[in-house]
Formats: sequence, structure tokens, C-alpha cells
Amino acid sequence: MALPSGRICAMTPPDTARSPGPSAFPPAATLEFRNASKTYPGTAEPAIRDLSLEVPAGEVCVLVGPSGCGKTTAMRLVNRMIELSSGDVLLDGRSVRDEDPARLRRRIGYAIQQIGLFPHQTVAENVATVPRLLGWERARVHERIDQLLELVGLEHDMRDRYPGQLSGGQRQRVGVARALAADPPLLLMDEPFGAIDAITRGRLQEEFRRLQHELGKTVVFVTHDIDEALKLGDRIAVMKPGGVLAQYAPPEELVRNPADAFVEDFVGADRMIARLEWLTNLRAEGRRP
Amino acid sequence: MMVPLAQVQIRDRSKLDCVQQNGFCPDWIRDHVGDYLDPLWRHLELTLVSVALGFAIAFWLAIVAHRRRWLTGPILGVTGILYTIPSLAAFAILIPLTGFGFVTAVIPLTAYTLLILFRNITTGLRNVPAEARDAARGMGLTEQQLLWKVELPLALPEMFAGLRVATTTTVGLAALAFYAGAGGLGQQILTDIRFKSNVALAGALCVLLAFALDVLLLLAERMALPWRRARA
Repeated sequence: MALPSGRICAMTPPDTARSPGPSAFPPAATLEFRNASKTYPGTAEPAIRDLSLEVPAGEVCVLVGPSGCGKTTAMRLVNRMIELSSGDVLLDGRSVRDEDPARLRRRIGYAIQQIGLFPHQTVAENVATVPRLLGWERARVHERIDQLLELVGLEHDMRDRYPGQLSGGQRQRVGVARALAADPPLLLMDEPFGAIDAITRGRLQEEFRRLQHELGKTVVFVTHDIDEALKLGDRIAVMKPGGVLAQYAPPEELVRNPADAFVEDFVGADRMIARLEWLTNLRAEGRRP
Repeated sequence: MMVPLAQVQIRDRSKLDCVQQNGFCPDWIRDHVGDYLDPLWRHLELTLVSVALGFAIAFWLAIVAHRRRWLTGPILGVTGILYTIPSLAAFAILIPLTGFGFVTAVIPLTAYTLLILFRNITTGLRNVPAEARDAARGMGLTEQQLLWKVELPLALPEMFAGLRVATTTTVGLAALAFYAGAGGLGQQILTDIRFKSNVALAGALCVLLAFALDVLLLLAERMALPWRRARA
């Protein structure tokens, strides 16, 4: 199904309360890190060191690297869940520092590994969070929930379930629907498929590709899994320990021309393990009657 | 009791006999239950007012301590000390200040609920899953919206648990409120403490009151927390 998130809306200000369509936001935003650094108080070494990269509108940028490389920190600088120490992050050319954090966050979709669904709210209420914050009318929110549940492949009768009644995969879908609810031009996803079994993860990755093809959002996607990165990213930013960007390139280039030994090793070593996993899965499936 | 023994023996061995001997007399209890309704009502009043006041204060304190974590220890200390003051001593101190009556009873009863209520509300707020908090902030809820829409609703189970304990203990403690001149079922017990029927009836009403309030709170909890029952 196509969402009427057309470019006609691109010129209207981000005042969704009065706009007719699902969103008054532009369909996708450009994102730029400009010499962004972050040093946590009380630490000598920065978590992010002079990060500069640009994500064109409508592309998926995957931040990948070993744990402790600062990829989540980098993502959280965008919606100011973590504040910059120096440098800047620009969204459509405007510094995120110039906007009130709460307002900024309402136009940036946010999905995290632990999902963070509100246990006391139904699926519908969870999905409606940001539209309600933006003051959408009741009927519009209602319609949007139906639309989103269909989009992420959840049955209509899931609306009134509580998160405690859902499977891991279903929760993940609700999390994605919730992040997409106000049709934000930028989506931040921190290992959204991390805590899920391999088979469901594969399916969710496929669905993510289909969704992204349909919606054309700008996405910042954090993962430690190079295979997931190669599968989903238009561009991949490989980060090294110490918060240094090792390489920022499309997947093919990353595999063909790794910038240094670290990238080569990270891409290579992980791919071997993934291949082993794939083989094991294949054997397991072959054994089934 | 002032009746000569000979006269008692002439009478038939019926309920009068039982009453005279300060016994446990079902017939007498049946006939006199009505006389206990006023003290029961007073007892209920004392309990509800104390718990409601205590909850309002503890709620406010918990929200303050939620914002300023370092206050939690001192507040627990003070409410803990309040909790250990014997009620009779508290009444004795207060009577010269607030007089003999309802207010003097309610002040210590309220103070006793603070520890358990404060502790439960702060525990509830602290048990809110970190990822729900992170998601809420990440979606653009303000700190105020986070508190009222996410944290407090998720703290409700602990709040109800605290309310249930506080209510039950207050029903028990309110039996001493007559020392402050506030009446209640305790007063009724004291009027004739040797008469088993009286003591049993007043005592049973205390227990029933505590039980009834607990059931009501349990029902309220179940209605307020549909998500707790809904498990896969």
C-alpha cells in the first residue's frame, strides 16, 4: 500500500496538528554530522571523535562496529538523547541544537533494541504516542493506527492487545509502527532486530527493505552485525573503538576496497561466522521432516 | 454484677445469664449490632481520612524525591522515625496542641502511613523499565509527560500494594484513637472490656472493616490495571 506522504507536503511547516495528510513533514531529510565529538563527563577519551558524514535524503545509513565503538552514541546525538560536546549535527541544514529537544524528537522516529513498548498501553495506544503528542484529531489517529498495523503486517485484532500478550517479533513490529506513526522524515533504529531469533530477524529484515522501498525515509540504523549492515544499508559507516569513523561507503565498495586492516578484518571475520551460521541453519532445516 | 447471687440462680439459664456472666452471647450480639454502627462509621472515617491524607503527602514527597534522588534517604529516615513513635505518646503530645478529638487522632495515623506509602511509590517509580523511559524520551515526551503518562501509571501496582498494607494497619491502629478522644471501635471495646460479646463484636467489626477495605482496593486495582491481567 502506498502512503500519501507525497512531496506536495514538503514545503509546509512541521505543524502536523492542522495538516490533512498523515504528515506535514517532508518525506525524507538529509542528515549531516559535521566534526561531531562527544566526550562524556569524567572520561578522558572521547566516545565520538570528530565524526563527519552525510546521509542523503531517503537513504539508509548503517552505523556498524564492535561494541564500545560509539555507534549508539553517534545515533543518539541526532535526537539529542546525548548532547554534542563539539561539532554539529544538521537536519535538512538546520542544527539540531537550535530546536527544543522534545519538539525535535517528535519528528524523528525512534526504535530501540529493547523496543520499550509501554506495558500499560494497548498496541493502538502505543502506536498513537507521537500523533497524540502532536495533537492529531482522534479520527485521524485511529485511521493512522489501522494503516500502520497493516503496513507492518499485524492483524487488526492486535489493536487492543497489551505488549505482554505479544511475541517478540510482534512487539518489534509494533515498535517499528510506533516509530513510523507520525510519518517522520528521519528514522533512528538502534539494533531493532537484535533481541530476536535468527529466523524472525531475517523476515523482519526483508520487511524492513520492503518498507523502506515503499516509504523512502532517511534511516540511521545501528547494528554490530556486518551482515545486517551489508543487507540493509545504502551506505555503511564502519566505526572503530575510540569513536573513530574507519570507512563510510556503499556495501560493495566496503567489501571490495576496505579502507584499512580494521575494516577488512571486521568485514571478513564477521562474514565467516555468518556463513557458518547460515550453513548450520541450512542443515537444521534439511533435517526437518 | 451488683445483683445478689441468690437472685441470679433463680433466673432461667437463658441469655440474661450469659450477659451477666460477661459471656459470648450470640442473641445479645444479634440484638445490639445496631449500636455499633456509629463507632464503626467513625472508625471508617478515621481510616479513610488518614490514608487519603497520608497518600497525598507521600505522593508529593515521592515525586520530589524522584526528581532529587538524594532526598530519598532523608525522607525515609524521617518517615521511619515517625513510624516508631508510640501512638499513645503521640496522642499525649498532641492533645495540648490540637485538643481532644478527631484531628489529634488523624495526625499520628496519617504519619504512620507515610513510610510504607512513600517507599512503595518510590519503588514503583524506580521499577519502571529503563527502555520504556528511554523510548518515551526518544519520542519527544517532556519530563512531565513522562511522569504522568508512563512512570506513574507503571508504578500503580506498587502504589496499590502500599495502599493495601497502609489501610489494613490503619484500621488496626485506629482502635487506639479513643485515647485521643476520636471514638471508633476501640472506644466501644473499652466501654466494657470484660464483656466477651462486646469485645468480640467490636473486634470482629474491626477485622471485617479491614477485610472489606482490602477487597475494595483489590477490586480497584484490578480495574485500574487491565494490562496486568492480560498476559499471554
